[in-house]
Amino acid sequence: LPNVVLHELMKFIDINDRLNLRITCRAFEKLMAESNAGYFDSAGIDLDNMVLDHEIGDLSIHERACNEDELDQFVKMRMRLFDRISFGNFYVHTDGSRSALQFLRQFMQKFEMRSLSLHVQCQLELENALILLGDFPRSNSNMDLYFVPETNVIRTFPRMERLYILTNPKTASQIPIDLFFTMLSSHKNLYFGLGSVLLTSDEWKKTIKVISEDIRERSVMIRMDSSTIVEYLRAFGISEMTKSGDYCGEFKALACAPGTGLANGSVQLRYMNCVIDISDIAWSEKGYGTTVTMTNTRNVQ
Amino acid sequence: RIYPLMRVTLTTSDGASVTVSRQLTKHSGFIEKAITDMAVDDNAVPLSAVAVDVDDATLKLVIEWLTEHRDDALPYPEKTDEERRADDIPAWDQAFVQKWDTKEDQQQTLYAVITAADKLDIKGLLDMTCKTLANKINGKTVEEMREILQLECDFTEEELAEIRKENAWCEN
Repeated sequence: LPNVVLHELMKFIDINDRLNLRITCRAFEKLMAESNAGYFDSAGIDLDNMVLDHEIGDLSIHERACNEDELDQFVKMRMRLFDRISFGNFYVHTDGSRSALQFLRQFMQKFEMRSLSLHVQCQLELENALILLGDFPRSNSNMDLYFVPETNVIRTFPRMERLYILTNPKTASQIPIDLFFTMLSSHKNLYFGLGSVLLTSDEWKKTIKVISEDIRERSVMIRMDSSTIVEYLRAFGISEMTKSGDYCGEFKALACAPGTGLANGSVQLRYMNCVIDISDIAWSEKGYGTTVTMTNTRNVQ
Repeated sequence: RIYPLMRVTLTTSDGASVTVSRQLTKHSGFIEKAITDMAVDDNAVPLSAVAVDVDDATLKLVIEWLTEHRDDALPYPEKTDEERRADDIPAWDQAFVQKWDTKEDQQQTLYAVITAADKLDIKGLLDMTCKTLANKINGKTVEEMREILQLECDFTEEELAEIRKENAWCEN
Protein backbone atom coordinates (compact mmCIF):
# COMPACT_ATOMS: atom_id res chain seq x y z
CA LEU A 1 0.00 0.00 0.00
CA PRO A 2 1.23 3.52 -0.71
CA ASN A 3 2.71 5.38 2.24
CA VAL A 4 -0.01 8.02 2.15
CA VAL A 5 -2.63 5.27 2.52
CA LEU A 6 -0.75 3.68 5.41
CA HIS A 7 -0.67 7.03 7.21
CA GLU A 8 -4.42 7.35 6.60
CA LEU A 9 -4.91 3.82 7.95
CA MET A 10 -2.96 4.66 11.10
CA LYS A 11 -5.60 7.20 12.11
CA PHE A 12 -8.03 4.33 12.64
CA ILE A 13 -5.69 2.07 14.58
CA ASP A 14 -6.45 1.99 18.31
CA ILE A 15 -3.61 3.04 20.59
CA ASN A 16 -3.50 -0.35 22.32
CA ASP A 17 -3.29 -2.16 18.97
CA ARG A 18 -0.26 -0.04 18.09
CA LEU A 19 1.62 -1.98 20.77
CA ASN A 20 1.18 -5.14 18.70
CA LEU A 21 1.50 -3.46 15.32
CA ARG A 22 4.95 -2.10 16.16
CA ILE A 23 6.20 -5.68 16.63
CA THR A 24 5.11 -6.82 13.16
CA CYS A 25 8.12 -5.47 11.26
CA ARG A 26 10.61 -2.59 11.11
CA ALA A 27 8.67 -0.72 8.42
CA PHE A 28 5.52 -0.61 10.55
CA GLU A 29 7.46 0.38 13.64
CA LYS A 30 8.90 3.32 11.70
CA LEU A 31 5.52 4.17 10.18
CA MET A 32 3.89 4.28 13.58
CA ALA A 33 6.56 6.49 15.09
CA GLU A 34 5.80 9.02 12.30
CA SER A 35 2.03 8.63 12.40
CA ASN A 36 -0.83 10.80 13.52
CA ALA A 37 -2.95 8.97 16.10
CA GLY A 38 -6.00 11.07 15.18
CA TYR A 39 -8.43 12.99 17.34
CA PHE A 40 -9.88 12.14 20.74
CA ASP A 41 -12.60 14.16 22.44
CA SER A 42 -11.08 13.86 25.87
CA ALA A 43 -7.97 12.40 27.47
CA GLY A 44 -5.68 13.19 30.34
CA ILE A 45 -2.66 12.49 32.47
CA ASP A 46 -2.00 12.83 36.19
CA LEU A 47 1.44 12.58 37.74
CA ASP A 48 1.45 13.13 41.46
CA ASN A 49 4.32 12.08 43.68
CA MET A 50 5.63 9.71 40.98
CA VAL A 51 2.28 7.92 40.70
CA LEU A 52 1.03 7.94 37.12
CA ASP A 53 -2.56 7.89 35.89
CA HIS A 54 -3.02 8.18 32.18
CA GLU A 55 -5.79 7.71 29.66
CA ILE A 56 -5.57 8.28 25.93
CA GLY A 57 -8.15 6.45 23.85
CA ASP A 58 -8.03 2.80 24.83
CA LEU A 59 -4.57 3.03 26.41
CA SER A 60 -4.79 3.62 30.13
CA ILE A 61 -2.55 3.27 33.14
CA HIS A 62 -3.96 3.60 36.63
CA GLU A 63 -2.02 4.47 39.77
CA ARG A 64 1.30 3.14 38.55
CA ALA A 65 4.20 4.05 40.85
CA CYS A 66 7.20 4.99 38.68
CA ASN A 67 10.79 6.06 39.04
CA GLU A 68 12.42 8.59 36.72
CA ASP A 69 13.85 5.92 34.42
CA GLU A 70 10.40 4.41 33.96
CA LEU A 71 8.95 7.81 33.12
CA ASP A 72 11.69 8.25 30.50
CA GLN A 73 10.79 4.85 29.13
CA PHE A 74 7.13 5.83 28.98
CA VAL A 75 7.98 8.95 26.96
CA LYS A 76 10.00 6.83 24.52
CA MET A 77 7.12 4.36 24.24
CA ARG A 78 4.69 7.15 23.46
CA MET A 79 7.01 8.43 20.73
CA ARG A 80 7.18 4.96 19.22
CA LEU A 81 3.40 4.61 19.13
CA PHE A 82 2.60 7.93 17.45
CA ASP A 83 4.13 11.26 16.57
CA ARG A 84 1.12 13.58 16.62
CA ILE A 85 -2.29 13.44 18.28
CA SER A 86 -5.09 15.91 18.89
CA PHE A 87 -7.77 16.32 21.53
CA GLY A 88 -10.91 18.27 22.24
CA ASN A 89 -9.91 18.61 25.86
CA PHE A 90 -6.71 17.38 27.47
CA TYR A 91 -6.72 17.24 31.25
CA VAL A 92 -3.48 17.48 33.26
CA HIS A 93 -2.67 17.32 36.90
CA THR A 94 0.93 17.56 37.93
CA ASP A 95 2.58 17.85 41.31
CA GLY A 96 5.02 20.70 41.84
CA SER A 97 8.23 18.80 41.08
CA ARG A 98 10.69 19.66 38.33
CA SER A 99 10.84 16.02 37.21
CA ALA A 100 7.05 15.85 36.77
CA LEU A 101 7.10 19.02 34.69
CA GLN A 102 9.98 17.73 32.56
CA PHE A 103 8.19 14.42 31.98
CA LEU A 104 4.91 16.10 30.99
CA ARG A 105 6.59 18.58 28.61
CA GLN A 106 8.32 15.70 26.83
CA PHE A 107 5.25 13.46 26.86
CA MET A 108 3.01 16.18 25.43
CA GLN A 109 5.34 17.17 22.58
CA LYS A 110 3.39 17.64 19.31
CA PHE A 111 0.07 17.30 21.13
CA GLU A 112 -2.67 19.58 19.88
CA MET A 113 -5.76 20.34 21.91
CA ARG A 114 -8.68 22.71 21.74
CA SER A 115 -8.63 23.06 25.54
CA LEU A 116 -5.96 22.32 28.09
CA SER A 117 -7.46 21.84 31.54
CA LEU A 118 -5.33 21.95 34.65
CA HIS A 119 -6.16 20.91 38.18
CA VAL A 120 -4.02 22.86 40.65
CA GLN A 121 -3.83 22.39 44.40
CA CYS A 122 -0.88 24.48 45.59
CA GLN A 123 1.60 27.19 44.60
CA LEU A 124 4.27 24.76 43.29
CA GLU A 125 1.71 22.96 41.13
CA LEU A 126 0.58 26.35 39.86
CA GLU A 127 4.11 27.21 38.71
CA ASN A 128 4.25 23.98 36.67
CA ALA A 129 0.72 24.50 35.37
CA LEU A 130 1.52 28.01 34.10
CA ILE A 131 4.60 26.69 32.25
CA LEU A 132 2.45 23.98 30.61
CA LEU A 133 -0.17 26.55 29.60
CA GLY A 134 2.64 28.58 28.02
CA ASP A 135 3.60 25.53 25.93
CA PHE A 136 0.15 25.50 24.29
CA PRO A 137 -0.62 29.12 23.46
CA ARG A 138 -3.14 28.16 20.77
CA SER A 139 -5.29 26.09 23.13
CA ASN A 140 -8.04 27.44 25.34
CA SER A 141 -6.87 27.42 28.95
CA ASN A 142 -9.00 26.03 31.76
CA MET A 143 -7.88 25.91 35.38
CA ASP A 144 -9.45 24.55 38.53
CA LEU A 145 -7.64 26.14 41.47
CA TYR A 146 -8.11 24.62 44.90
CA PHE A 147 -6.50 27.54 46.73
CA VAL A 148 -6.28 31.30 46.33
CA PRO A 149 -2.81 32.22 45.03
CA GLU A 150 -0.95 35.45 45.79
CA THR A 151 -2.60 38.38 44.06
CA ASN A 152 0.54 39.22 42.04
CA VAL A 153 0.52 35.64 40.68
CA ILE A 154 -3.16 35.82 39.69
CA ARG A 155 -2.38 39.00 37.75
CA THR A 156 0.10 37.05 35.57
CA PHE A 157 -2.45 34.43 34.47
CA PRO A 158 -2.98 34.15 30.71
CA ARG A 159 -6.51 34.72 29.45
CA MET A 160 -8.54 31.71 30.56
CA GLU A 161 -11.57 30.17 28.96
CA ARG A 162 -12.52 28.90 32.41
CA LEU A 163 -10.99 29.76 35.77
CA TYR A 164 -12.62 28.15 38.79
CA ILE A 165 -11.45 28.97 42.30
CA LEU A 166 -12.79 26.10 44.35
CA THR A 167 -11.77 26.98 47.86
CA ASN A 168 -12.39 25.72 51.32
CA PRO A 169 -14.28 28.61 52.98
CA LYS A 170 -12.48 28.08 56.28
CA THR A 171 -9.00 28.49 54.84
CA ALA A 172 -9.57 30.60 51.74
CA SER A 173 -7.87 33.93 51.55
CA GLN A 174 -9.85 36.67 49.92
CA ILE A 175 -9.36 38.14 46.46
CA PRO A 176 -9.11 41.97 46.60
CA ILE A 177 -12.00 43.66 44.87
CA ASP A 178 -9.84 45.49 42.30
CA LEU A 179 -8.31 42.15 41.29
CA PHE A 180 -11.80 40.64 41.05
CA PHE A 181 -12.78 43.26 38.47
CA THR A 182 -9.50 42.77 36.60
CA MET A 183 -10.22 39.02 36.43
CA LEU A 184 -13.74 39.77 35.22
CA SER A 185 -12.30 41.62 32.29
CA SER A 186 -9.58 39.04 31.52
CA HIS A 187 -11.25 35.64 31.79
CA LYS A 188 -14.34 34.30 30.05
CA ASN A 189 -15.90 32.01 32.66
CA LEU A 190 -15.17 32.50 36.35
CA TYR A 191 -16.22 30.67 39.50
CA PHE A 192 -15.45 31.91 42.99
CA GLY A 193 -15.89 29.48 45.86
CA LEU A 194 -17.44 30.49 49.16
CA GLY A 195 -15.36 33.14 50.90
CA SER A 196 -12.87 33.71 48.05
CA VAL A 197 -14.51 36.98 47.06
CA LEU A 198 -16.82 39.15 49.16
CA LEU A 199 -18.90 41.80 47.39
CA THR A 200 -20.90 44.65 48.86
CA SER A 201 -24.32 45.35 47.42
CA ASP A 202 -22.86 48.12 45.23
CA GLU A 203 -20.00 45.91 44.05
CA TRP A 204 -22.47 43.17 43.18
CA LYS A 205 -24.49 45.61 41.09
CA LYS A 206 -21.29 46.92 39.46
CA THR A 207 -20.39 43.32 38.58
CA ILE A 208 -23.76 42.90 36.88
CA LYS A 209 -23.28 46.17 34.96
CA VAL A 210 -19.78 45.21 33.82
CA ILE A 211 -21.02 41.84 32.54
CA SER A 212 -24.03 43.43 30.88
CA GLU A 213 -21.90 46.02 29.06
CA ASP A 214 -19.19 43.59 27.95
CA ILE A 215 -19.62 42.69 24.29
CA ARG A 216 -17.61 39.50 24.79
CA GLU A 217 -19.19 36.36 26.26
CA ARG A 218 -18.83 36.49 30.01
CA SER A 219 -20.07 34.35 32.86
CA VAL A 220 -19.32 34.62 36.59
CA MET A 221 -20.49 32.30 39.34
CA ILE A 222 -20.05 33.33 42.95
CA ARG A 223 -20.82 31.08 45.86
CA MET A 224 -22.09 33.22 48.76
CA ASP A 225 -24.21 33.09 51.90
CA SER A 226 -27.88 33.04 51.03
CA SER A 227 -28.57 35.69 53.70
CA THR A 228 -26.15 38.09 51.99
CA ILE A 229 -27.76 37.84 48.57
CA VAL A 230 -31.25 38.02 50.15
CA GLU A 231 -30.22 41.31 51.80
CA TYR A 232 -28.97 42.70 48.44
CA LEU A 233 -32.10 41.55 46.61
CA ARG A 234 -34.41 43.09 49.18
CA ALA A 235 -32.47 46.38 48.83
CA PHE A 236 -33.42 46.31 45.11
CA GLY A 237 -37.06 45.52 45.95
CA ILE A 238 -36.86 41.83 45.08
CA SER A 239 -38.34 39.38 47.59
CA GLU A 240 -40.07 36.03 47.89
CA MET A 241 -43.27 37.88 46.84
CA THR A 242 -41.78 38.90 43.48
CA LYS A 243 -43.44 37.17 40.55
CA SER A 244 -42.24 36.33 37.05
CA GLY A 245 -42.62 39.37 34.81
CA ASP A 246 -42.40 41.91 37.68
CA TYR A 247 -40.08 44.87 37.30
CA CYS A 248 -38.06 45.88 40.39
CA GLY A 249 -36.19 49.03 39.44
CA GLU A 250 -33.80 48.08 36.63
CA PHE A 251 -34.31 44.36 37.25
CA LYS A 252 -36.92 42.23 35.55
CA ALA A 253 -37.93 38.96 37.21
CA LEU A 254 -37.80 36.25 34.54
CA ALA A 255 -38.65 33.28 36.74
CA CYS A 256 -39.32 33.03 40.46
CA ALA A 257 -39.84 29.93 42.56
CA PRO A 258 -40.33 30.99 46.20
CA GLY A 259 -39.62 27.53 47.57
CA THR A 260 -41.98 25.23 49.38
CA GLY A 261 -41.56 23.33 52.61
CA LEU A 262 -37.96 22.19 52.91
CA ALA A 263 -37.08 23.16 49.35
CA ASN A 264 -35.37 26.51 48.90
CA GLY A 265 -36.41 28.85 46.14
CA SER A 266 -34.73 30.15 43.02
CA VAL A 267 -34.78 33.44 41.13
CA GLN A 268 -33.86 34.40 37.59
CA LEU A 269 -33.50 38.09 36.87
CA ARG A 270 -32.47 40.22 33.96
CA TYR A 271 -30.56 43.49 34.16
CA MET A 272 -29.94 44.97 30.71
CA ASN A 273 -27.93 42.27 28.91
CA CYS A 274 -27.06 40.29 32.02
CA VAL A 275 -29.08 37.33 33.24
CA ILE A 276 -28.75 36.52 36.94
CA ASP A 277 -29.57 33.05 38.24
CA ILE A 278 -29.77 32.49 41.97
CA SER A 279 -30.34 28.90 42.86
CA ASP A 280 -31.19 27.38 46.24
CA ILE A 281 -32.07 30.68 47.91
CA ALA A 282 -33.30 30.60 51.52
CA TRP A 283 -35.35 33.82 51.97
CA SER A 284 -35.69 33.71 55.71
CA GLU A 285 -33.04 31.38 57.10
CA LYS A 286 -29.32 31.83 57.63
CA GLY A 287 -26.51 29.37 57.14
CA TYR A 288 -27.29 28.34 53.56
CA GLY A 289 -24.86 28.72 50.70
CA THR A 290 -26.17 29.73 47.31
CA THR A 291 -24.67 30.14 43.85
CA VAL A 292 -25.22 33.41 42.02
CA THR A 293 -24.57 33.11 38.30
CA MET A 294 -24.29 36.20 36.14
CA THR A 295 -23.96 35.75 32.42
CA ASN A 296 -24.37 37.72 29.23
CA THR A 297 -24.09 34.66 27.02
CA ARG A 298 -27.60 33.37 27.23
CA ASN A 299 -30.19 34.54 24.77
CA VAL A 300 -33.21 34.96 27.05
CA GLN A 301 -36.27 36.54 25.46
CA ARG B 1 -20.51 23.02 -13.24
CA ILE B 2 -21.15 19.32 -13.64
CA TYR B 3 -23.18 18.14 -16.62
CA PRO B 4 -24.82 14.95 -15.34
CA LEU B 5 -25.55 13.62 -18.82
CA MET B 6 -21.96 14.02 -19.93
CA ARG B 7 -20.21 10.68 -20.14
CA VAL B 8 -16.54 9.94 -19.73
CA THR B 9 -14.60 7.00 -21.14
CA LEU B 10 -11.96 5.57 -18.87
CA THR B 11 -9.22 3.32 -20.19
CA THR B 12 -7.81 0.88 -17.66
CA SER B 13 -4.25 -0.29 -17.10
CA ASP B 14 -5.09 -3.64 -18.72
CA GLY B 15 -6.51 -2.05 -21.88
CA ALA B 16 -10.25 -2.12 -21.21
CA SER B 17 -12.59 0.85 -21.76
CA VAL B 18 -15.47 1.79 -19.52
CA THR B 19 -17.85 4.69 -20.13
CA VAL B 20 -19.42 6.29 -17.09
CA SER B 21 -21.49 9.35 -16.21
CA ARG B 22 -19.93 12.54 -14.87
CA GLN B 23 -22.31 12.06 -11.95
CA LEU B 24 -20.01 9.28 -10.84
CA THR B 25 -16.65 10.68 -11.85
CA LYS B 26 -17.26 13.98 -10.04
CA HIS B 27 -16.32 12.08 -6.85
CA SER B 28 -12.85 11.35 -8.27
CA GLY B 29 -10.40 14.21 -7.86
CA PHE B 30 -8.08 12.57 -10.40
CA ILE B 31 -10.66 12.17 -13.17
CA GLU B 32 -12.19 15.60 -12.57
CA LYS B 33 -8.74 17.17 -12.85
CA ALA B 34 -8.07 15.25 -16.07
CA ILE B 35 -11.36 16.54 -17.52
CA THR B 36 -10.61 20.10 -16.38
CA ASP B 37 -7.18 19.86 -18.00
CA MET B 38 -8.90 19.02 -21.31
CA ALA B 39 -10.56 22.45 -21.02
CA VAL B 40 -13.85 21.21 -22.45
CA ASP B 41 -17.17 22.99 -22.32
CA ASP B 42 -20.63 21.46 -22.25
CA ASN B 43 -20.77 21.18 -26.04
CA ALA B 44 -17.58 19.21 -26.30
CA VAL B 45 -19.04 15.77 -25.62
CA PRO B 46 -17.95 13.06 -26.02
CA LEU B 47 -14.71 13.67 -24.18
CA SER B 48 -11.38 12.12 -24.98
CA ALA B 49 -10.73 9.01 -22.93
CA VAL B 50 -9.10 9.38 -19.53
CA ALA B 51 -6.41 6.81 -18.76
CA VAL B 52 -6.52 5.47 -15.21
CA ASP B 53 -3.82 3.35 -13.60
CA VAL B 54 -6.36 0.81 -12.30
CA ASP B 55 -7.18 -2.61 -13.75
CA ASP B 56 -10.58 -3.41 -15.22
CA ALA B 57 -11.79 -5.68 -12.40
CA THR B 58 -10.91 -3.13 -9.72
CA LEU B 59 -12.41 -0.25 -11.71
CA LYS B 60 -15.70 -2.17 -11.95
CA LEU B 61 -15.77 -2.37 -8.13
CA VAL B 62 -14.94 1.30 -7.86
CA ILE B 63 -17.76 2.16 -10.29
CA GLU B 64 -20.18 -0.04 -8.32
CA TRP B 65 -19.29 1.92 -5.18
CA LEU B 66 -19.52 5.26 -6.99
CA THR B 67 -22.95 4.34 -8.38
CA GLU B 68 -24.26 3.76 -4.84
CA HIS B 69 -22.60 6.97 -3.63
CA ARG B 70 -23.37 9.19 -6.65
CA ASP B 71 -25.48 11.57 -4.53
CA ASP B 72 -22.99 11.93 -1.69
CA ALA B 73 -22.21 15.53 -0.81
CA LEU B 74 -19.09 17.11 -2.27
CA PRO B 75 -16.53 18.10 -1.20
CA TYR B 76 -16.04 15.10 1.07
CA PRO B 77 -16.08 16.37 4.68
CA GLU B 78 -12.65 16.53 6.30
CA LYS B 79 -12.82 15.18 9.83
CA THR B 80 -10.00 17.02 11.53
CA ASP B 81 -11.97 17.85 14.67
CA GLU B 82 -13.94 14.71 15.07
CA GLU B 83 -13.05 11.44 16.66
CA ARG B 84 -12.12 9.12 13.80
CA ARG B 85 -14.15 5.99 14.25
CA ALA B 86 -13.81 2.82 12.25
CA ASP B 87 -17.15 1.38 13.40
CA ASP B 88 -19.42 3.72 11.44
CA ILE B 89 -19.24 2.12 7.99
CA PRO B 90 -22.68 2.34 6.29
CA ALA B 91 -24.57 -0.95 5.89
CA TRP B 92 -24.38 -0.94 2.07
CA ASP B 93 -20.60 -0.45 2.18
CA GLN B 94 -20.22 -3.26 4.71
CA ALA B 95 -22.18 -5.60 2.44
CA PHE B 96 -20.14 -4.40 -0.55
CA VAL B 97 -16.89 -5.31 1.22
CA GLN B 98 -18.23 -8.58 2.63
CA LYS B 99 -18.96 -9.67 -0.93
CA TRP B 100 -15.21 -9.85 -1.54
CA ASP B 101 -14.78 -12.02 1.51
CA THR B 102 -16.14 -14.93 -0.45
CA LYS B 103 -13.19 -14.60 -2.79
CA GLU B 104 -9.91 -16.34 -2.12
CA ASP B 105 -7.98 -13.17 -2.77
CA GLN B 106 -10.11 -10.95 -0.52
CA GLN B 107 -7.08 -9.17 0.90
CA GLN B 108 -5.71 -8.46 -2.57
CA THR B 109 -9.10 -7.09 -3.64
CA LEU B 110 -9.26 -4.80 -0.62
CA TYR B 111 -5.71 -3.59 -1.26
CA ALA B 112 -6.48 -3.06 -4.94
CA VAL B 113 -9.56 -0.98 -4.13
CA ILE B 114 -7.70 1.05 -1.47
CA THR B 115 -4.91 1.75 -3.96
CA ALA B 116 -7.43 2.65 -6.67
CA ALA B 117 -9.26 5.00 -4.29
CA ASP B 118 -5.93 6.68 -3.56
CA LYS B 119 -4.88 6.94 -7.22
CA LEU B 120 -8.28 8.20 -8.36
CA ASP B 121 -8.53 10.49 -5.31
CA ILE B 122 -11.94 9.21 -4.15
CA LYS B 123 -11.90 10.30 -0.52
CA GLY B 124 -15.08 8.56 0.61
CA LEU B 125 -13.96 5.20 -0.78
CA LEU B 126 -10.45 5.59 0.65
CA ASP B 127 -11.91 6.44 4.04
CA MET B 128 -14.25 3.44 4.01
CA THR B 129 -11.65 0.94 2.84
CA CYS B 130 -9.04 2.17 5.35
CA LYS B 131 -11.63 1.74 8.10
CA THR B 132 -12.36 -1.77 6.84
CA LEU B 133 -8.68 -2.66 6.93
CA ALA B 134 -8.27 -1.08 10.38
CA ASN B 135 -11.22 -3.15 11.63
CA LYS B 136 -9.45 -6.25 10.39
CA ILE B 137 -6.29 -5.25 12.28
CA ASN B 138 -7.67 -3.85 15.56
CA GLY B 139 -7.82 -6.43 18.34
CA LYS B 140 -5.62 -8.95 16.53
CA THR B 141 -2.46 -10.68 17.72
CA VAL B 142 0.90 -9.80 16.20
CA GLU B 143 0.85 -12.95 14.05
CA GLU B 144 -2.65 -12.22 12.79
CA MET B 145 -1.65 -8.65 11.96
CA ARG B 146 1.34 -9.92 9.97
CA GLU B 147 -0.94 -12.26 8.06
CA ILE B 148 -3.52 -9.55 7.28
CA LEU B 149 -0.89 -7.03 6.23
CA GLN B 150 1.25 -9.68 4.51
CA LEU B 151 4.34 -8.72 6.48
CA GLU B 152 7.45 -10.67 7.29
CA CYS B 153 9.05 -10.13 10.67
CA ASP B 154 12.50 -8.66 10.15
CA PHE B 155 13.34 -8.12 13.82
CA THR B 156 15.91 -10.28 15.55
CA GLU B 157 14.81 -12.34 18.55
CA GLU B 158 16.72 -9.95 20.82
CA GLU B 159 14.96 -6.94 19.31
CA LEU B 160 11.57 -8.61 19.69
CA ALA B 161 12.30 -9.38 23.33
CA GLU B 162 13.28 -5.76 23.91
CA ILE B 163 10.11 -4.40 22.26
CA ARG B 164 7.92 -6.82 24.20
CA LYS B 165 9.60 -5.69 27.41
CA GLU B 166 8.86 -2.05 26.53
CA ASN B 167 5.28 -2.88 25.62
CA ALA B 168 4.74 -4.74 28.90
CA TRP B 169 5.16 -1.45 30.71
CA CYS B 170 2.02 -0.10 29.05
CA GLU B 171 -0.10 -3.12 29.84
CA ASN B 172 -2.23 -2.25 32.82
